[in-house]
Amino acid sequence: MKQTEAFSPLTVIRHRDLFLLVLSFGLANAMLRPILESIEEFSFYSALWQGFGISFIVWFAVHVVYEQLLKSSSAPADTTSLAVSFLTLLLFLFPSSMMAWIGLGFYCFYYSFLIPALKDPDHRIFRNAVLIAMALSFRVPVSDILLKISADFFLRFDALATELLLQLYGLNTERKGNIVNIEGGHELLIMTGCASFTNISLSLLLWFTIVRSQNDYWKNSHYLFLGLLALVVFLINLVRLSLMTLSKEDYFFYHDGTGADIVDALIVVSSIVLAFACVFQTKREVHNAH
Amino acid sequence: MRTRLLQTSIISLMLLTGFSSLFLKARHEGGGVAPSLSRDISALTQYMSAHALAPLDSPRSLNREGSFQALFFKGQNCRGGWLISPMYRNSEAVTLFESQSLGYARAPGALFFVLNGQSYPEFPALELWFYQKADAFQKALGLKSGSLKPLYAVRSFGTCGRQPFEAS
Repeated sequence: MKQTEAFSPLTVIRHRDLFLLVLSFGLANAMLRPILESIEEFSFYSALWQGFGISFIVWFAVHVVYEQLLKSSSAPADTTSLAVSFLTLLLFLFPSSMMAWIGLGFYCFYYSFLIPALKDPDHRIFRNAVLIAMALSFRVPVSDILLKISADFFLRFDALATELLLQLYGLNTERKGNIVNIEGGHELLIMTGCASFTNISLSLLLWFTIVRSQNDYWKNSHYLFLGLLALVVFLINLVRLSLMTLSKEDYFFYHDGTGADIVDALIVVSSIVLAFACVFQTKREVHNAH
Repeated sequence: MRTRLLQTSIISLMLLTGFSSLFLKARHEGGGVAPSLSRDISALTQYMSAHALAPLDSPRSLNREGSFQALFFKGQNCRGGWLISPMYRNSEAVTLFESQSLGYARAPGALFFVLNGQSYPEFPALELWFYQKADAFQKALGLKSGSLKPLYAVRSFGTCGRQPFEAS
């Protein structure tokens, strides 16, 4: 067996290195457009401080994926994996960022679930990294397609919840579709960028990145944490939307100003707290089971 | 020796494919969307003004994410705007804004299309959609310089000038 491996052209290329190569090209292809756009619109340093138009949660997930990959071990790649990797690279030639995200997502799916050799405990760090990369890759197309199909529903739901919250505080509120207006306030048009759905998808990515990098188990209780996080982020966004209707000054404060930063920080902190709560609970469950 | 050569060839081929994909993306998308959004806004504002559909001043853009644009005009006799989808970029947005909730709050106008300075009450021709997409693809591959004029899908909301087809 060792004799065969020594003469195989593929034995020196390991799964990890192959995956790193395709992942790097996939991410570069998917993120090139917003990065170039951001640099063009602002100066390089301003763009840098804004994460080059990409959420810092996404950069954090990318960092964790590389960190995990670099400390992982894996078996030598087989011919099928090499062929799949090459086909994925060919898919990146299609001039579309969305296609790059989708291609990378399916490539990660292949590495997560279709290579039996990588499922054993020796390769758990590698597999965790691949799973986080898969969540990172599928987030963009899934949220984009869901918003395209049902933006009406999500926007109206946000507007309805905002209206109810404002009415709870005794404010005379009028809502038409995705526009909320309070008497003497600012007419608020809720669009996809401000929708709770967008914030929830990012906070779930952050949660998953932390949880998966800290433990290897997936338990049913994780769904409870996911649901709770989605609810918390929805409520934070709801309060933000409600505050934006109070006046034009409030709108700018919570949409672009310090208020928006506070809301973003609250969402990040909630995700981190719930992720570590989930990690500790899982470790305790596993410890008790042993 | 042969093994090493084969391995080097495989890795070189993969690297070549990867860098080619980045080169194509940079040509097609790099610096493309933000300036082209500005060009779209400028061209459409001129078109709207020339057809007495909107005031000449620059509209406020409500969405610059690249999927579609909402141009909002607010003035003494004008409180409304247009939802616009450049077909070469994202034709899917047409279905999105056909059912946009925005229409419930401000009286929506009919969906119409703008091509080469002309308005069309219906999509001019199905093959145009393919031509627009194929043109963008060919441009990315460096086979053609994107010679087609952009086709826009437009829908008005609110009260701002007259509808392009109501007088006729």
